[in-house]
Amino acid sequence: MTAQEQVARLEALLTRVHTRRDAPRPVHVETAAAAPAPVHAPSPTPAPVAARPVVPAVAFHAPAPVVPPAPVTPAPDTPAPHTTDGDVDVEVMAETAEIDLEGIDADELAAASADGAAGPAEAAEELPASSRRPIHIEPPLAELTFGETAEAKGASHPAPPESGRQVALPTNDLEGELSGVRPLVESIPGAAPATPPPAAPPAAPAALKADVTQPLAAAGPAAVFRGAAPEWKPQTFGDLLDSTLGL
Amino acid sequence: MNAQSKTGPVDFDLTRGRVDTGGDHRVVLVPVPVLSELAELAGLESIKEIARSVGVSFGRRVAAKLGSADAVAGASLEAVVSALAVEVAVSGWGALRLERWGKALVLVVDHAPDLPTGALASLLEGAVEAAAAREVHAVALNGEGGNKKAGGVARVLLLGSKAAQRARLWIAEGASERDVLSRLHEPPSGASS
Repeated sequence: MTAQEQVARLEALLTRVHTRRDAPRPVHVETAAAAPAPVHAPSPTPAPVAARPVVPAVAFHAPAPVVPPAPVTPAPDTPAPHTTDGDVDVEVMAETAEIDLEGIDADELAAASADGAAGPAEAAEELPASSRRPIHIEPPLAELTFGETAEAKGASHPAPPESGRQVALPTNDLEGELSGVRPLVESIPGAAPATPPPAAPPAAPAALKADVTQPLAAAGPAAVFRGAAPEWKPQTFGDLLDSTLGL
Repeated sequence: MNAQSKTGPVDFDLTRGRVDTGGDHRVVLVPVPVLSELAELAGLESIKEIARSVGVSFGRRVAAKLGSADAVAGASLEAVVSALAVEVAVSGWGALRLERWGKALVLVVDHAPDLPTGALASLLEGAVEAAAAREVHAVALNGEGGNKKAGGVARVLLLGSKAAQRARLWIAEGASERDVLSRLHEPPSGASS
């Protein structure tokens, strides 16, 4: 990283610090009547900023663990002030420092940024007593207010996947026989596993077919009829009467 | 009867209250239920004799119409059947026709009156004997006297004496009409071909 890049990042960091400082906060701010407006340094180039001393007196309600208690020696007849049973009014005095960027060399800024990147612990140790200190509000408000634990908050996470047999997705067997009847398979991932198809009934035996051999057609008539069978026909009523009486 | 008047098969003379058939033969109209009651009172054989007598009168008139008994035997089937059918129809006994089954002669009467079994066969038997001057025996094939199951059709087979006895025996055994006619044409058992 070059020096210019480091300077640019530091300037961006400074701008963010100013922005966060000037951002409205739900706190009751008691400022002096002669407190001037905050001064921004939007220009990327280091410009002389005449930072005026602003000493806002910020008073807000916060739990006791938020602000480390001052090393106060409790009186023998008074209870300890760092109890967490109730809200404690803590006055936090924000201090600002006048920074003359023109007087800071680029190398010093780089060194300072390198020191800042080394770790917050080292930075906290190296920072002067008059520098601004971040307000550490890490515990969630719900936990501080209702005493909920992180486990209760974690309950809102989605349930883990159910254990059980995993059904493999169907695969299209393009090399197999395509003319066969295939059962309907649910291919939507995550859907309920399809019930296995019922066992197919045993295949019926192939129907027997008779192999018929037809005789060859006769080349000629099988029989020849000559004449006609004699048919008796009575000529008169007497002839018929004689025939029936002769039976 | 006035000789000048024309006469038919049946002559109704309302002035004198006479019904004559074939000239000088006076008849009376008798309802069929009366004949049935007579059969119950006098027995089946009595009604058969009465019917036979009626048939003899029919045959005589046919012979008279055709000339003689020899003329009847020498006449065609149609001529004899037509003359006999007129007599049967005029008297209300039904519509007569002739069937030949091989050598067997069967007279069929449609719309025959409902009379006891054997009455109509006796009537036709007497009619043919009187017309042709030959002894014949009539056998009722499917019942007679207006068999309702046969649609009021009576079938009468004319045979000789011995053949008539065999046919009646077969019918009593339950043989059908076709079986009776077939058996009549079979050669007697033991006869050489």
